[in-house]
Amino acid sequence: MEVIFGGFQNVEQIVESAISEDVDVIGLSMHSGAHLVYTERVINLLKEKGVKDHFLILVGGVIPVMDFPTLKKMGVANVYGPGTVVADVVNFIVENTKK
Amino acid sequence: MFDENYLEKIKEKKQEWDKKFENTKEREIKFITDSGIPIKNLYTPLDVKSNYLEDVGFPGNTPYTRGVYPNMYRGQLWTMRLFSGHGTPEETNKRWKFLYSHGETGFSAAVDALTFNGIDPTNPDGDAEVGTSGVPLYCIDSMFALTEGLPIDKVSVALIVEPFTSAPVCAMYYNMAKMRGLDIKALMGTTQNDILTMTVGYVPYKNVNPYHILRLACDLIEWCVPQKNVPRWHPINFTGYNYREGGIDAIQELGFVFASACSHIDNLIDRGWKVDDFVSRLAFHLSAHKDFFEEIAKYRAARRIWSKLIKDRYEAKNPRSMEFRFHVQTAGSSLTAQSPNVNIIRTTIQALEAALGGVQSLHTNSYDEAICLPSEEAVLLALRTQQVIQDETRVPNTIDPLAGSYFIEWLTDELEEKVLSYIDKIEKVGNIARALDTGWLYKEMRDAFMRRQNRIEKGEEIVLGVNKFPVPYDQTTTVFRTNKEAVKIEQERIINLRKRRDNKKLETLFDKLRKVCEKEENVMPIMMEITKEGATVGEICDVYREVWGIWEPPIAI
Amino acid sequence: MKRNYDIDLLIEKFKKKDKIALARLITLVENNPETTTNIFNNFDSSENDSYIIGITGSPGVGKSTLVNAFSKILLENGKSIGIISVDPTSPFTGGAFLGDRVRMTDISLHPNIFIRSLASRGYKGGISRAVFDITLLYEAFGMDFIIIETVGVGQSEFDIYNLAYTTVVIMVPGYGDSIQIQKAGIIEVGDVYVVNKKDLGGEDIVVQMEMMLDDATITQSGWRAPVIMTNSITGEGVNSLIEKIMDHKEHLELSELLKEKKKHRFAYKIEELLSSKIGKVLESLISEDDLNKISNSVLQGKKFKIYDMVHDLFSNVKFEMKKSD
Repeated sequence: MEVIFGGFQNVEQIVESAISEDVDVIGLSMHSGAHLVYTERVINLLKEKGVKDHFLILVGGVIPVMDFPTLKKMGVANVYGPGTVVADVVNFIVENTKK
Repeated sequence: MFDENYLEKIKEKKQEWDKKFENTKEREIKFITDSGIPIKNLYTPLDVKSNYLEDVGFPGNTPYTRGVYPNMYRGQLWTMRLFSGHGTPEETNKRWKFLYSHGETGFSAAVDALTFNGIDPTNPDGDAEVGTSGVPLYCIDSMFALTEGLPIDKVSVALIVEPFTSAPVCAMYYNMAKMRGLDIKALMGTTQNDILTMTVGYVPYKNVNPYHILRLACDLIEWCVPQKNVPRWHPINFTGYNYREGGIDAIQELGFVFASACSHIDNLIDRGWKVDDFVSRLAFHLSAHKDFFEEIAKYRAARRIWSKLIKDRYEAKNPRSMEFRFHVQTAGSSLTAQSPNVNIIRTTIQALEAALGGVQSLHTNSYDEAICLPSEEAVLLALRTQQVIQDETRVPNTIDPLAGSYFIEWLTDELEEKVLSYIDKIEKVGNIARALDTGWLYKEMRDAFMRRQNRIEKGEEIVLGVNKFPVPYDQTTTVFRTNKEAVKIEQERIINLRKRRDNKKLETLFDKLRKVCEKEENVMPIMMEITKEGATVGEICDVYREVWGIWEPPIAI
Repeated sequence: MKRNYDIDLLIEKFKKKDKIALARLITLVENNPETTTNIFNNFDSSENDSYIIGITGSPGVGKSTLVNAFSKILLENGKSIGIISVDPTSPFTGGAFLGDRVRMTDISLHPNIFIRSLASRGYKGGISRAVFDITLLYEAFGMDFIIIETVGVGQSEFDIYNLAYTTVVIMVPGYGDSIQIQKAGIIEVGDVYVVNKKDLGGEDIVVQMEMMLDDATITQSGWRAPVIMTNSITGEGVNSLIEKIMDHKEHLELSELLKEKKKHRFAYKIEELLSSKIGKVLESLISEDDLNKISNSVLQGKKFKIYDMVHDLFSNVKFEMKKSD
């Protein structure tokens, strides 16, 4: 497994990076409380480009538990809140990207 | 500290006791401090190596180990300053009034991510974050709204803004105060203005190279203090707290702040000032973390290190220059989203560390901060936590009550030694701008974070509710949401301002700012002019970016 | 989960200049070298020749910032660019790396540019193979320029100058100047040297470089590598960097050395492919056990017998030379 740390990017750059690098998973990390808006924007742009299904989308950070269902409804595969163990994220990715 | 013969006798008795101890059982854990210092089973006079008069002394006397004021809390209790900053300046003003009516003694305004990064709310790159993690303060109108109806000439104000945007934000604040008829020479307050907070403590977005950030931080110090424009203001608050939150330990926390402070002092000395002209206004912001005794020893060691450093390295003459004054915040990273009520207990214990350590100003976290900005109910509890210590426990009745504890004195010495050698290690890399630009500090942060995360995942560091007696992360707190309309309100504010102001005049002023930046002159005088005319933080930072270029931090992964 | 790519469909889209198809074909050649032949067979008719520029320098010297500034100007002139950014794999996590594209946000969204990051470790057949294959894909895609960005000479796992027509070496003053210069081979590999000064001095290293180049060169090529100073943050000197690269390109074209360079790029590859094939044959003939035996005896006091032992091992191997028809 290879992880490309993308740094601080805007929505267009995130989508462009994911497409060019042809990644399996997009992980969005957010702590500012704007996670619902940004996630929706990323997913909408992926849909617009017709590539939403290319990626497994994960969201992590300071995410209140009541936002988990909203994010999942948008198309996020899993959400990780405070206190997450790294191994859990890795296992989820391994499970959901093999075939 | 003790008579030689008497120490011999203690030694004998201690050996007897050691034999007795050998036959007892010990729990199978590592007895170490949070920073990894091995802890003995018992401390006695044998462990105290420091000399009372030289190394400990009296409060108000160098090296200030026991406190910077002779009377400490017998004279004045520490300032109670809680987190504020959400939504809009008007909402934050409301929060200030609420806390003030309940006994808060100092105001604090943490700006939002946009203001930190010098981006206006009209910029689509960040519009979603207006007011979500702090208060948007990007023009002079925001400052009037923030302080409306509050006695800012009597209560000190902390502006939590970093050097990339501290010059315009502070200039806006000072202009507002002047326009309200106040004398800014008497204005009290603090600007965080810490280079490391937005670099290693947070990922900056479109900021400039640390070399310029360091200069910007020093511009504010120079203009406020030695140039005597706002002489009672603390123009910088070295914020070890923020990077401590990223996983470093107490030794590194002090190492980072002191190495950074020295780089700023050197910069001002290069500008021709004497250390006594400005050093007494430099302040510090430390963490109160999980290791109770180590944190208390840390505050005592910090005072002693600073005093000696300023006296020996910089040859200061004025004892006031050697005083280490600091604000403490309880450790946000120790809070859990799981069973948030337990956070009240954690915060209480950490607040006690600060009180026993001789803090000047204290920020207690709200129990809901692992998951959102504090709600009114939670922040009131946090304030009450401090009030219980101040008013009910009688803890502040005597000065530095833990001095003379064999353990505390030993640990203070131990920390002093380790911090000094860590400062050496940093300074081998260079000044703080260089330590950043080469990526060295990022590597230190990464390693520390990984060590801590591994310890937690292995269960070596216990986090109740997470790795011991785990509690599912579910709906146990109500979440305080910031105003969704904030973005619209702030965009309107800026659009109105742009219509109202004299844009022709501003164009000339922006040219002037551009020249000041090119020549690397102090930006404050032009900043006072330009913000008064309605320039916004985003517009000003665009000039920085244009002249100095955008810097991408060499993050270590 | 989505690695079962339909190659024919991808090729069809690729030929219509679809970047998503390009990205996925790169993934295929990166991860399954076996598919490469099949993919490349589709490009027989492509006659595009890209000009390949290699840019190398230690981490932190400002490579990507310069590449960003440089590409911006090429884009303004209507050129298309394929960038391969080889980033060091984190020794700490073993699998993570920082995409240098983070530093190229100015250009990353431009329609005429494509950036792909490669971790320096983790490729079947090595990073060198992956980079070579991607250059061929970029050529087939019709890129005017290919820029390969790698970490320092002697540190990277492959030598960029075997692939690139113009090699740019970037240094920064203060990070152990003399060590950087003295590093084996640095004087031979560069066609253009850049001292990226950022906020620091840098005049000293330029003088030292000039002196060493005076001593060492005026090579057969007739090209004396220039040394230029830039400030990647302010963009100062970037124009003259482009000028020097273009000068070198012109020099190669006029002197017909470009043909040599191109030949070298493929000759090098052919050699590499052959050795890897022979290596595989050897692997099948000589077992791990055989090798262990030798190393164990060497360690047990027979170090001076090392040549003999290897010779003996080979005396048991029977090659049958057979030229294919």
